[in-house]
Amino acid sequence: MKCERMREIAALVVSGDAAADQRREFEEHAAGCAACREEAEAIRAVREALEEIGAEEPEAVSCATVRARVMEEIAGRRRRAAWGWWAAAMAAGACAAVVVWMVTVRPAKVVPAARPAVARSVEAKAAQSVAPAMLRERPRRTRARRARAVQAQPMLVKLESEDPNVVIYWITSGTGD
Amino acid sequence: MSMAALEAIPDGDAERSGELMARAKRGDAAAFEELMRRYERMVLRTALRMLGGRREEAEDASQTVFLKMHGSLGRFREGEDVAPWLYRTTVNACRDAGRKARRRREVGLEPAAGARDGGVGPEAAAEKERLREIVREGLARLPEKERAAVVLRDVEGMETREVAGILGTTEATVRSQVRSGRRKIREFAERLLRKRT
Ligand SMILES: [Zn+2]
Repeated sequence: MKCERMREIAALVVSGDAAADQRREFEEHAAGCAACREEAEAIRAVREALEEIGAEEPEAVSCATVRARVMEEIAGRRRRAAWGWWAAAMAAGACAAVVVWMVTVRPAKVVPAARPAVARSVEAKAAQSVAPAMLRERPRRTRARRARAVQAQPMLVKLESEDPNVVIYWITSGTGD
Repeated sequence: MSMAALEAIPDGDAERSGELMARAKRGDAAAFEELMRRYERMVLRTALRMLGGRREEAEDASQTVFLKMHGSLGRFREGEDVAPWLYRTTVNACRDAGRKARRRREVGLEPAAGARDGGVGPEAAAEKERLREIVREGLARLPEKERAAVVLRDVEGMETREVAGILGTTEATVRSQVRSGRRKIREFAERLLRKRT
């Protein structure tokens, strides 16, 4: 049983990891025990082999493979981030009324001062003659007409982002196309 | 810090590493690639030993480590040695890889064919190579935590204190893991070598 305990210590003595008193105890025991000396030698050989394994370089092709894959992934992430930004910009463009700052050649004409006469007359007639169910349908129609009237001008749209370097301009036909 | 880290960064070149890190932080891909070249052997070697020499898995783990490093560039202080972080991240990546691999593959209790048959020769060099092969195999069979401790302490040649820092444990625990790991490898080697004779 003494030997079993000594073997535990032997596994640490070889690398100087055993406490000083354990080391002394082991040395005294090993002086008279060939089996424990042999054990320490065997552990030392294992440790030497482990060290040699540490000196083995991984194959250059493995390094190159990993490097290429990492650099490709990083480039891909950048591309995806850029595309993601574009997608966000386009979505923002679709919600132009909220996000966009509009500049037109004649700003005063962009926002209509009054509802178009056609829409108003249609509405007035309908209000007198149709049933309540129809009344709920009607405003949608008139809003559409109004919107078309508003967009009858060509518009210069400026889209600003958080990135001061990225500003997008475009000119719309004014009909929403 | 450690022998391995010193080996990874050539002498008097810590400054250059710091400069590369600063450039990489600003999004310079070429600088990041050069940083990778400095540490890739260390990371791959550790991954290979953690994963029993399975090359594809080690490459995958190394890729994970460097992508994590790229995503974490902001956290490294100026002049900080990234080696401990890389070791820790490699060990963790290999743990995850090992878990996935175990689900796919049954590890037999019998030594692999390679360890049984390969490289037997009468010369001392062949004997040494034979022992290395057995030790590699024995290392691969250690429980994960013992393997990590032995890889860092004996294969990478770090001090017990450094290993404890990287693995987030105490020196006493590292000593106990190393002791147990070395003894298991030694017993494994003895069984195989006895079988042969
Ligand atoms: Zn004894």
